[in-house]
Amino acid sequence: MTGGLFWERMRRRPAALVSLVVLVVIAVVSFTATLAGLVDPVAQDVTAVNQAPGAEHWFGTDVLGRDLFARLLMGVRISLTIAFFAGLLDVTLGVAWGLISGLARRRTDGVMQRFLEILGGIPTLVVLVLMLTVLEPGLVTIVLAMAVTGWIPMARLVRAQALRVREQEFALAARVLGSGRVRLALRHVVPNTLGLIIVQSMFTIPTAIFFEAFLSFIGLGMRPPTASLGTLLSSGFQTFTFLPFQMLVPAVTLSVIMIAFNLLADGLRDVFDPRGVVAR
Amino acid sequence: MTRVLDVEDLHVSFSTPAGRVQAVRGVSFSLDAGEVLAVVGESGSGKSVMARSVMGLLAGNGRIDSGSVRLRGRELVGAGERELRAVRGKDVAMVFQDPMTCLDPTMPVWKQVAEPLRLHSSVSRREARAVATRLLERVGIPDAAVRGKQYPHQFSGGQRQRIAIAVALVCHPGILLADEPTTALDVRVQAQILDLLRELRSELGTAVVFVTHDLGVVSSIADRVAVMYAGRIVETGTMHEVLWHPQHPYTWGLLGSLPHGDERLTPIPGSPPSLLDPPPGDAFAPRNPYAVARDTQEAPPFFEVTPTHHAATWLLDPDTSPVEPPPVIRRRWEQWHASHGDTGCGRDTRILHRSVPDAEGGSDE
Repeated sequence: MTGGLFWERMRRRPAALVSLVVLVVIAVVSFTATLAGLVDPVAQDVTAVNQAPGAEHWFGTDVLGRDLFARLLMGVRISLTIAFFAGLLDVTLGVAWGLISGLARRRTDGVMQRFLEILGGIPTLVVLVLMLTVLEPGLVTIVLAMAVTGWIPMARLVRAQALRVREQEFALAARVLGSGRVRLALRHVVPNTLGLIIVQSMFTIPTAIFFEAFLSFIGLGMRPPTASLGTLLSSGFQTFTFLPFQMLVPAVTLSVIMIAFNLLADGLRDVFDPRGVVAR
Repeated sequence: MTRVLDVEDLHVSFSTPAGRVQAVRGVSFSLDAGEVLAVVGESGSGKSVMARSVMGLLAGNGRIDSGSVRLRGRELVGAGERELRAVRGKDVAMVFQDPMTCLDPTMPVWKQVAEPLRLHSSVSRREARAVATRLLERVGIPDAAVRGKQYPHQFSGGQRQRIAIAVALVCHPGILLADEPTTALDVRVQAQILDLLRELRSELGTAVVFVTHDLGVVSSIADRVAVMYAGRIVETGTMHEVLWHPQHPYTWGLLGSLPHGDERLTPIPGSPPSLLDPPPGDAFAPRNPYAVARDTQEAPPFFEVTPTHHAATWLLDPDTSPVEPPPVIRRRWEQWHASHGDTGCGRDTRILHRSVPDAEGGSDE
């Protein structure tokens, strides 16, 4: 698909386009602001603790007098980084595993599937707790924990689709023309699975963000003073009844990011479907 | 005439939970350059399996048990995957029954036409595109430069079959295997596709194996015909010989099931035998009103009618008492004799021909 066609189709899906813009803005602002040092998420100001949102501190301050806007930007940056790695793992390891498994001989496929089942049988939390005995809690550990099991649903979906596509007549036709397995996989199976891959990876991203938030919430994720959406939520939770903004701000941000990813996934799937030209 | 394909005593079977299904049981035929061989038979007679095993493309549970497939003298049975891949699409190509599913829905059609070129020769993308566009134009896709960029769902069934034919012929293969390419199309489009195949055949000199169950299609395209039943060829000859001077009762049955004037159709009773455990004699015997005792014990060999026309039925054996074919077939024979004369077509014709005036009380001719 050419770039021009991509944008033309994208324009017809305003929800997806708006989501894309929102995500890009959020990503650019959070990364530049925190990495360039425009805001300081760890500076404490004991004279201004638990301030309500206002001109001085847009989103208020927390119990240690840290600016919540700055901490939110840092949290978004950490969460998006985790989301990026989760998506990357999905489309590399997950897709490759699914393709090979789906197109290989029955025995190879069986071995690969049993491996997935064993891997999927280990609870993620157990893996993570074990890892934390060796590694420091933080970004690297969380990404490694997701690398163990996060890509399994993608591998399963791609395998199922590969099994379906390879039985279709055009796959047989491709073999009749002399295509080998690799060519069949890349030229025919992947394009016919693309919609699924996009949607699944976009679903993985919010799941990963939420997973990190959950880990931070139960105290296995990011260590203070590093902020992530999860740590912000968990500290905001403690003061929720009398300082609701401390929890609402990260909660709304997380919701916006997740909705944006889902809408974008929906739009992208339609855009990459050749039959999408006539639809709508 | 150069021989392009030689199939000898091919046996193909599929393993199923119930046992081994012997789908093809000793098929031999040959194909000369530029010739159209029609393979006819009802569903399950093994014609598609035979075509696919020529390319070494059987489903996972199928295998070629014995026999040989030689492409211009090169043995393909037992050849490695790499060798077969080099042949597929380049020397032998295939057109499928259902044009709605045989093209990849996610690829522009020109790319699909260009794909075999890119696989089998080192042409540039630009050249491949030019060749593909020309060929699309040739097979009757109007405005091919623009429409080539479109996807399969933007074409009609007939157009898709034209595109599939373009895909098959882009490397100028010596042999085209057409597996019921017109069955899924309506009659008018069917005629157009047959015309196209005929034109391309004479233009490119491609030999065609045309698998079909439609005898009307056979008469319009075939040079030679092989009639298959239960995994075997039961009658083979030129198109005129098989359609107008048929010898095997199964061929009679097929021709009798054709709409003909205002007569009622005569279907063949029963259904084909299970190929899990094929009967020892002639597999058609249980459905054959003309079966002789020997049919159930011993499979008939091929009897020669003319040097080009053979049929495997004991009716042609000099020891078998002559029978009278059904009226539809008698009329075909009469037309055949009227146009060819009784020029010593062999003993079988003598026997069977003699039976015709007997049956009619000498009233014909």
